[in-house]
Amino acid sequence: MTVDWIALAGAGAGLVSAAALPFLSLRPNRILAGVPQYAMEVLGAGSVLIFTAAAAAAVLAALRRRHSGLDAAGTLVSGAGLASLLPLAGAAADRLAGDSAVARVSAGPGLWLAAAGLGAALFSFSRRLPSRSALRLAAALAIPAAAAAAGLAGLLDDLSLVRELLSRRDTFTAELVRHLALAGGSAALGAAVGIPLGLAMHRRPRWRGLISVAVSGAQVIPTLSLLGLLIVPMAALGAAVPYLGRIGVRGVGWAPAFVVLFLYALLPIAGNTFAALGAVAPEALDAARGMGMSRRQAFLRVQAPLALPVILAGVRTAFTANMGNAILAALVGGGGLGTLVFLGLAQAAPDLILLGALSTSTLALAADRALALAFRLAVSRGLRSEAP
Amino acid sequence: MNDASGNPAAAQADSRRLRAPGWVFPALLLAVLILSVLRFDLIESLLGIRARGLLVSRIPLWELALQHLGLVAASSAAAVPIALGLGIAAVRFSESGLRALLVAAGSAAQTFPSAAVLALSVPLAGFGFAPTFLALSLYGMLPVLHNTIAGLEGVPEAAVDAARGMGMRPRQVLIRVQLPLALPVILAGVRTSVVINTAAATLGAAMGAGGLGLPIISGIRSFDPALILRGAVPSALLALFADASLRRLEDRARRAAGGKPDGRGA
Amino acid sequence: MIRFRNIVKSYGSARAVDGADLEIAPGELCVLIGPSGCGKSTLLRTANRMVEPDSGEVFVDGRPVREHPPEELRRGIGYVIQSVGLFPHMTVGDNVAVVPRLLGIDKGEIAGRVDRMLELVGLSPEWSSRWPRELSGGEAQRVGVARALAADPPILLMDEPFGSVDPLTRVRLQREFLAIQRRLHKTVLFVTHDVEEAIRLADRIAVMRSGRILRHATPEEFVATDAEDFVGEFLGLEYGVEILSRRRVREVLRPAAEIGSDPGAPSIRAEASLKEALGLMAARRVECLSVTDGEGRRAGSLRMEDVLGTWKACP
Ligand SMILES: Nc1ncnc2c1ncn2[C@@H]1O[C@H](COP(=O)(O)OP(=O)(O)O)[C@@H](O)[C@H]1O
Ligand SMILES: [Mg+2]
Repeated sequence: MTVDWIALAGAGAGLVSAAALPFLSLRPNRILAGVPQYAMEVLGAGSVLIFTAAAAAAVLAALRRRHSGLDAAGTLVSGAGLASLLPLAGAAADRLAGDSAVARVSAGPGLWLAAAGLGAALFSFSRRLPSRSALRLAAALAIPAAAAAAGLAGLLDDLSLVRELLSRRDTFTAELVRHLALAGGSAALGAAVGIPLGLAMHRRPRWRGLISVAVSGAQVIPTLSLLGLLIVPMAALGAAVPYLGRIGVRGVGWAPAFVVLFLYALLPIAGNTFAALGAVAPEALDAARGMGMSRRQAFLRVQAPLALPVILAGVRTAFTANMGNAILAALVGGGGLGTLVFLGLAQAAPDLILLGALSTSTLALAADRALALAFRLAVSRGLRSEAP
Repeated sequence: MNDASGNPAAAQADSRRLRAPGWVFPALLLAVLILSVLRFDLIESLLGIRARGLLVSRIPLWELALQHLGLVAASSAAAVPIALGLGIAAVRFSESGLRALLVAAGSAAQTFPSAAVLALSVPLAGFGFAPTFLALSLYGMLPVLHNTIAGLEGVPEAAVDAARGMGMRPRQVLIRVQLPLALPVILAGVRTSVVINTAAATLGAAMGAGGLGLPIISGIRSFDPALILRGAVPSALLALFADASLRRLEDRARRAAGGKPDGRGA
Repeated sequence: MIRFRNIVKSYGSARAVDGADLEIAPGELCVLIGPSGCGKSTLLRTANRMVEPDSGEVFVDGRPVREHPPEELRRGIGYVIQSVGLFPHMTVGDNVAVVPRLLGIDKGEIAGRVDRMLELVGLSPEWSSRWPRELSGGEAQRVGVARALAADPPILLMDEPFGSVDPLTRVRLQREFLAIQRRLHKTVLFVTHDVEEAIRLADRIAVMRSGRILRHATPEEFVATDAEDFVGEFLGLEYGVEILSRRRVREVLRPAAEIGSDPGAPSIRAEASLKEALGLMAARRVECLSVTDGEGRRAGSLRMEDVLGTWKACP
């Protein structure tokens, strides 16, 4: 038994920052500078809850030296503290904003750092619990659940981020859909073309060098440069092929963004497919052929299933990266959540930037987790690693 | 031939033919890069176009290139040592849970798009050099951290064991055995970091940090393809140069660590 | 049953196999032995057309193999390799069932056969649902053998099948394989570079060097080899001792009645090999052992000259 230094440092830092740094920031309107608000003043009894949770987590982390079995208690305490941060902040925002429709309440460094510190403590405590324990699962679900419940109950309506979202709910939804279509569509097309391309590379050794140069080259060239370089050819293409012009293929708009995202997905997927097929253990293929499988059977029954995990990992990386990179589509008028980000940058409106950037990151993270889960089910149990 | 076995020798010869003598390619890229920055008009007349924009012509291209270079150099100079230190600490004190925390946080952060990190730094640090520098430094740490941990953990157990058996102290094992053997992997992380930051720095223009992204963004706004090229060509060359020259460094380290000089792969 | 006639195979300018001739009789376990790189695997792989010879011909059952489509030929020949080549994405049971499924045998029959094959190699039917990554090296090799036998092929090709397991496991696998072979009487071509393994398993040994078969004979016949030539050098001076492992004490012991009792003599089981008996004599510095039967009763005695005299008993 040793002291859990990570949890101790996390909970300690969380306690100090929640108590000593501005927890929220109140701006009389969107433009004016913020006035710092401290937890002790604005949270009332809620601040006691947070301070107690953080202090208790720190004590539990230090006591691990003497007593075993404190990990469950630590998980519970730090999880509860973390889950209560957002609802408490929302309720405080409601009180601070009062009746003003233009006042803005946003998160201060105290709130962010308290969340980070308690998060680290929660991670460190729960890591040692059995991997399928109910408490661990509950801790993982409690935080998003508390946030969602508070949001649905209207408790968060006065936080500036949520105000920003509510005031442009329709645009947000439209851009979200566009973002998903742009990123998902280009990645799906990238997979549909990239996997056969990787297969072709595997079959034709001569192409290998060329493609691997293209793959690394295209990943090196900055997205923005590629996007810029495409404007002229895309405009020419739209002008030359009337049908394409009618569906919106122009120098600006969704088309160049879609092409760039497609290329970004295509090359790693093709590269991964190629590498995966080549990395299949030669003895497995030798055994397959030696037992009397035809080339086709050996490919379908042995080589392809063995390569599948790596191929799918490439597809997952491409989807995740595209979800994020699709922000840049807004630079060429292609729409998506980047529109909010660049609008926010132009108007010097931090909440708008935050809204666009946070929702994009959440999308990327969600895509990554969802595909990891789905692909895990697609892969033979004999090939799965133990970790979830 | 109906042999079921492949022909690895031929594939190897294939890739060897493609690998030019190490320094030629980076040197060529550097020459073209410098030329394009100093005399972009040559490229323009070659393509028969000319930028209309009046906005950027006041800041010479070489100055934008230097701004860009400065951003990347400053952020990498901050990111690499910090990430290296964190990675070493994570491996040395892995029982403390530091490794688990850093790996989990790092892989979650990796799914964040670089553009989002850049944009998020504006509310924190305002406009200009500072938020871009902050974002690039943070984002640039991820590949170095990841590869430092992977590299140190990939050092053969037997080598570490032998070093300890010969009486080296943990610090000596780290400096004389683990770090030299992990160096190629760590350098691959540095390369990825620098290349990503070179690309992300073009977005710095949207945060008011200048750089080669400026002509691209102004060109897109004013629909001026020639202006876009002014930024796009040098920034692409810069990224390719950074990649090629760091690969070369990596190959050297790999040879020094007794491995095959193969710059491909992660 | 299998006949290689003047096989030549080159890779680039190097001759992997350089005019090899070999004939294996039905039911014979032929061990092909030679230094690493001498062309053993290449020669073995011409038998199931994994390698096509540049010239020469392989006959199976009197018919040239090139007249068979390669896939059909291979489905009728069991194939075991050193690295096992189990398919990691299939369970043990599915691995064993690969060839029966390729042959279109019906499901119910396959399930029963998988269980029987696993039992044959000493694994219970529960192993059927395990994954290859959960197996030890020895267990994986057993599954490899079961997989090769699953379609009941008359011929087995085995390329250093026990080469990658520890020595104790290897000896156990050899013993079990020999027991299986005594029941099934397959025609086996078994490649190894381990002389002891060859002695333990072979009906006949073929010694190969630089792509040619130098000599093909019973293990006993190799005892008289000139120690100066390549075959003698490769087999080693200890061959004369190693080969004693092929014979049991009971085959040469003198019945109790024949000689007077020798009370101080160390005792040895009648089932022990002559090599073990010689080892015991050397360790105790005696020339006579007392032999006991399965129940521990005295069955006779064994003298040093009986052990040394076994050569003469051989043809
Ligand atoms: N597919 C191949 N391509 C090139 N050379 C090969 C190939 N297969 C075998 N060889 C060469 O042929 C020779 C004999 O190989 P092999 O039959 O595997 O030897 P053994 O099994 O006796 O160790 C070796 O020198 C080997 O390098
Ligand atoms: Mg071999």
